[in-house]
Amino acid sequence: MGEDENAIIRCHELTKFYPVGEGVFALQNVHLTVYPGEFVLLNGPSGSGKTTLLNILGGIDRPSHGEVIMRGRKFSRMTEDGLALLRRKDLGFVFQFFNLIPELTAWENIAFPLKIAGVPPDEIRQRVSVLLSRLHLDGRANHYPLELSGGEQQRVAIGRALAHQPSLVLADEPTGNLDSKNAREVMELFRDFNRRDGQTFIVASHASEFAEYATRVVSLRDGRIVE
Amino acid sequence: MGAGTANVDIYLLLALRGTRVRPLQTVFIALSVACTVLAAVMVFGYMGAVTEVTAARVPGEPAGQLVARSACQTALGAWTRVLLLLPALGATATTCLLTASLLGRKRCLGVMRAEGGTTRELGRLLLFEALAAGVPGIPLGLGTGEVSSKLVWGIWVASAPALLASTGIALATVLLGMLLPLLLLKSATTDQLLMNKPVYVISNPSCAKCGACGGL
Repeated sequence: MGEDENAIIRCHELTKFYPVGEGVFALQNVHLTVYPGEFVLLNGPSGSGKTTLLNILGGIDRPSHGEVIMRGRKFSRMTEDGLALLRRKDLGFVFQFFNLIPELTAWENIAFPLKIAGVPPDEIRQRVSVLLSRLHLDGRANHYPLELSGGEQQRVAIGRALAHQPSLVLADEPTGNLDSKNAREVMELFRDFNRRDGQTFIVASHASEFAEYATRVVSLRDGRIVE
Repeated sequence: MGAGTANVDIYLLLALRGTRVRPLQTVFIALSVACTVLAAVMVFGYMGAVTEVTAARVPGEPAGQLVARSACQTALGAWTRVLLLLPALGATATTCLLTASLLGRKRCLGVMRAEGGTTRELGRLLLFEALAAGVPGIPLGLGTGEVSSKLVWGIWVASAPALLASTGIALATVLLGMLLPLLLLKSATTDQLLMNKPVYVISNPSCAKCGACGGL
């Protein structure tokens, strides 16, 4: 129990059942504890439950059974808006298909979580400027998502996920839509933020070659953790 | 753009940019609002026309007053009934357009929720969007309403209360048109929005379990 108290996030007996046809178990009795500063790679083939697990860990989806606890807060007792406020402060998301807001420029997309969190404008400018520089996007700040390449869009999405300095970043197949060069660049950025800023990462990927970036690899098969 | 928008409310900025990104939808909402205002101005014009005709016959001829009122109402009354339908049609059209706009952007709204946007804040975004698209329809409706009133009833609707009331009716139809999108947004989970799954008017999971209607 003592080590669990130090955990940034933990889940136990997590089960997700979809009552489609005969019913599908996307997750079955999953236990996972992640500690601050870890870089966890969730590895497994397509359909193994990686996305479902990440969505439940991020409070985007609810489990059929089990509990997620982040710094003492039980997700099952939180409303949708309560979970949104938790994500605003403590969680960052990176999606496979970038999911940038098309009406906003790269600068504004990165600033979005800061604005909704009520960060003062001067601090927003300073933080976004630093991030743009670290993500090698200085010259692309005023471009809209459609004017950016896939790699650039994913770097903007990473900036958005990290702008509010969350303690935990969840990335769902962040390299799934990128060529190998951009994919490596993204993983190196994650490692850089993990090592320099101590941010915790849980990255879902079907590609096992990214294991070298992680401090721990968790493998999923058919909704169960196998190692 | 960029750092220059650091002081601007992000939801207001999104609503204003949205009018540029979705011009057709904006035009249709503005037109439905304009129709509502036009109808309201015309009704006020009709009331003014009846009063004017009646007043002209008043001096010393009570019978003439009644005849004039009756003739005027017979001739123009049918028109007002048709006109009174327009605000209802305007509200329906606004509802359809705003709902379609919400459903077409579920994923984007899901991303905002995933980033920490609350239902109230996203509701504010919908309100800003509805107003950004609908408000330009008000002067258009007032202008065309005035001209139509002059052409059909022969008078200008000059009274400020009538014009204000027409504007109020238009704003009310916009707000009415927001009800369904707001209900959908309130009952939708982040997962439903982000994964572009069907959403239901009644809070989940009760309605989603049934799913007979297929959701929206």
